[in-house]
Amino acid sequence: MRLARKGGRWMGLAVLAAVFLAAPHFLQPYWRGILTEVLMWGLFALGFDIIFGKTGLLNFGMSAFIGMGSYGYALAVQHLGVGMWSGLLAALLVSLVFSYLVGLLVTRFGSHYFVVFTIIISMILFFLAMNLRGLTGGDMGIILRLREFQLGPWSFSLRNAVAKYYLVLGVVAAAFYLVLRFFDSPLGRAIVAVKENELRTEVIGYDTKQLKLISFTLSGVVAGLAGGLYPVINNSTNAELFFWFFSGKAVLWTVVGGAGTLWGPFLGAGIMVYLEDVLSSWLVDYYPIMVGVLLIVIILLAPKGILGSLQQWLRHQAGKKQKGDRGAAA
Amino acid sequence: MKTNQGKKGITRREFVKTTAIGAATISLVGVPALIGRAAQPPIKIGILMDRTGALYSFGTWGERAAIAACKAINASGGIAGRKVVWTSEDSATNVQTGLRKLRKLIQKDGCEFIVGPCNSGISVAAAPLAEQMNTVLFAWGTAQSITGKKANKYMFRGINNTRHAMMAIAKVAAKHMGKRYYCLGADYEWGRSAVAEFRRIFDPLGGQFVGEEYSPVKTDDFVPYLNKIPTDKVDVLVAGYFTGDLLKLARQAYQKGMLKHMQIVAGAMPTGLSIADLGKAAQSIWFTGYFVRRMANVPQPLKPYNRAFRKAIGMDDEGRDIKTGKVGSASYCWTPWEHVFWIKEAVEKSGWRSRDDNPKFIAALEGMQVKAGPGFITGDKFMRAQDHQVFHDQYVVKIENGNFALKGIVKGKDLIYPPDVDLTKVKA
Amino acid sequence: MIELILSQLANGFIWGWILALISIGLTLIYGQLEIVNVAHGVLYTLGAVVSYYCVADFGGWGWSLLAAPLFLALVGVVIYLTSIRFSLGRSPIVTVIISYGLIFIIEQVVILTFGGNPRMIPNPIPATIPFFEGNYPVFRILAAAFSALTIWGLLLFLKRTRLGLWIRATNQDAETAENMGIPTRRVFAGVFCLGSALAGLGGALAAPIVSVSFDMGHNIIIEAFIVVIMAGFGSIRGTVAASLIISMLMGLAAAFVNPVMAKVVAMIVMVVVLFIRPQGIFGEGGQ
Repeated sequence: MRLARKGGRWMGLAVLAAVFLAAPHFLQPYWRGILTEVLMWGLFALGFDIIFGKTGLLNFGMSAFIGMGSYGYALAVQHLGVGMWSGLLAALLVSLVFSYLVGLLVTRFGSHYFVVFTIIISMILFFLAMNLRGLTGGDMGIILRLREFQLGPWSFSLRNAVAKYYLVLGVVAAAFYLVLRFFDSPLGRAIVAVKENELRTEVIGYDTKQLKLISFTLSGVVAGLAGGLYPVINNSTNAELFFWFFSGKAVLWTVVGGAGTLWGPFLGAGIMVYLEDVLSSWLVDYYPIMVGVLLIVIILLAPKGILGSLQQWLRHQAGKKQKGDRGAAA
Repeated sequence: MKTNQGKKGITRREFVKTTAIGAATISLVGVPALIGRAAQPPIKIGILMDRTGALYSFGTWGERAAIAACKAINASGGIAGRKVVWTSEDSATNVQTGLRKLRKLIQKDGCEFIVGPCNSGISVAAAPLAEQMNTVLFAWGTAQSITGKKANKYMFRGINNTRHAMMAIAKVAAKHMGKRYYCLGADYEWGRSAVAEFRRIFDPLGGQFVGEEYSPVKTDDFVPYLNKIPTDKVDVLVAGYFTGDLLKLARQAYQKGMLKHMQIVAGAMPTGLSIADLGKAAQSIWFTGYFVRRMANVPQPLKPYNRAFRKAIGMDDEGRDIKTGKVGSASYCWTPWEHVFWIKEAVEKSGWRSRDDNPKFIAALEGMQVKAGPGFITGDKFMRAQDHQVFHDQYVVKIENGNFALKGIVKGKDLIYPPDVDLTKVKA
Repeated sequence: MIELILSQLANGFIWGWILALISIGLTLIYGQLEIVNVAHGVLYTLGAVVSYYCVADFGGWGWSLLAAPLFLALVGVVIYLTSIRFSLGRSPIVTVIISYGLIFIIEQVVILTFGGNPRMIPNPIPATIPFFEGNYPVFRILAAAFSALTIWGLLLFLKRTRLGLWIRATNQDAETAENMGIPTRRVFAGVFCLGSALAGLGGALAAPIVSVSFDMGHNIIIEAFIVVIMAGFGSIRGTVAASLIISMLMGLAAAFVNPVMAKVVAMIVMVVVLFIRPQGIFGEGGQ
């Protein structure tokens, strides 16, 4: 039984991989571009899911990480003249250092202060980014002139949308895989235990503050990597990314897709970006209202999000079957 | 890269044959609206405006103006005989959304030209993308960098920029006001550049700089900053703020009794500003306008064109929406209208048929001079080749007796400055 | 220089009272319902919009001191009944998302009705008094006084009336309160309405000073959050004190450093204070 399920999982993954790999060939350019974007936003939302869905801390300041990551990349590429891969590395390093430092400060606090605290930090960055225009370009941002990236012996143009798609897909898939593995590991499971019952986890002997810090840092690095991909896709970045509006998006997408599922953020980002795209063309004057209503309806009726509710339903079905089996046996 | 429409192309012979038959049919049947039935595909224009978000009122009027222009052009025969069709999208005052919708307009809807939003940040980020997708973008934002540091071969601007605006008002200020000045601005690109551009012109004309300060973007209370201004030592307060903040600042300054002698030079045009709201502070503010709001202030020869424009977009002589009475951006929203006419002019002059002809289109536009008319309702203009920047007259207005009074017109030719970039050296 | 410092402090003090009134709704709702209401800013906006219409159509700004809180209480009831009440007792994320969704809805409604242009209300009391080198608008002083009075009234209400008692009891221990016969559900609804009404009143009060625009809430929400978190969620007195301190501090800093840095400094100071005392200056207990 379990082997079959595992086999089923591998099959499912294979199908998914095939779909994503083949996508550029059967999608129109516009939708391919959207999918590329969704992969990046999904990664960003994944960062949120790590700290919130898996660790139970509501970080409403995710925009700080994506902003730092994007500027890490942009400044390295623009001023240090490095290539794309080094730029991404810069984004990772910058986010690592930043999220660790902020994490040290912030993980001392419990949930409600944590929310506002993280908002404030992202706002501090926003004001600074707007103010230090010489560095960041302020709201005009930085327009990058990097034209290509290397992969082994080959060189691809950054204007080649298909190449970019595979690049983003590769980076996101790799990061996602690592995150999945992490949460399967003992460390990852300890972090989840903190969410479920912090007191008990501490009693068992874990240093919960340390665990939270690790999770916070990981969340920041993942979001920062997404931030690094932003200028890869758009050839530009600007201070607007620091505004708390984007933090809200990460929250939104994760909650809609299913917090804690790790797959959910991608699904949520995909659905919401698509919906907003369609609705905003269709009902320009009213679509913010519709988005707001949708949010409220989803969080009240399906708070576990799409995947979360699905998981719950499946477990419920499995539970019923088990009970049925037991009943039959009895 | 895929394009939807232009690839089909039509040989010259087919074109002539079809037109001849078409003309014959029209004259036989006497039906005027056969343009859409011609063998030539319509020209698709993408309208990208901030229909939601902070720049909502600019975006709404801008869209109206662009659509009205398309309709007007269709009514008089289209562009090179081809009908104009348009798709409109909302950039939501947000760069990411703007970029996404830009891609949608070009990749999904097959738009061949983009009439862009007044948000400079979006235009600046969109230009490289538009270039990549071989589409010409018309930018409505006034940030200097659009035709400066961030200029792009595929981006054109049909309105003066912040530099022109501040040059004009600095010249007028030098004539009418004292020379000691203090600067207060919003701490973002536009606020800072408005102040910088003012200083560039005012200083050589005798300006005496007293001090400057930049407030964080989301400020409500300006009193702490106003407190620092030595009012008795300042004649002019240069305010790098947009409508809403300008209102607050002016009112708060007035209440502090600072406006008895000191005059405010506003970096922003009075778009959407309701004069009544300013109260007594109004008589101390000078505005620089890319055109005028009131019909009364429109120069005589331009009046008929302006009248037709206002009728087309549903705006009254005082710049208000005919239906709702809300004040619109009369001195500003003419730009998307004219952008559509720039497209027409350049297509017809260059013989543009499809995207492949973009280099010809761009070459035709560079250096193009246009005359006042139903299309270019705000007067003669020329599009400078090196930076794709248009030059036109700038208006300085002041509020007197409860309404806008024209205080000075600075001619386009007096606003010329050396270009920051030379796009003619760049290949399209 | 002394004059500048004094006038900055004085203005900070006055503005601080107004900010306190705006922020109190936020802290009340948190203290009682454990809800971080990020929509607080749009409720404030609604109050200002109400006062605009009072001036334009109903003969005077003064009416809005009554109309705004009443209207917002009504809006609060509707919001509570349709969404908030289902979120009580659940994870805090639920109400955060709900209030986040409300921002979208309410702001767009304001755009569609009031419009996208900022408007200003004529100063109801155009008088000024001589103040150092210039004048100071009397309206601000009266607004601050009104604010102080309202807060004092609120404190009295909480202390002396039965409803106030119920609120405090429910705040302390909802279960016990329920067992004692207090209709806690109604108390929750009431507090939510009260908090909303206070936000609206704050908006109406601030409207003649700042312009009325659909996005005016964005500015104020950040300041309100800073105040509330420094004060310690749930403490009314703390909110007043923090509000005054922060306003005066920002005004003072603006006298010396560039205003953006002043704001950043204020926020960093807040971070430091919280580091030392996580429950806020006046907060009780831990998180």
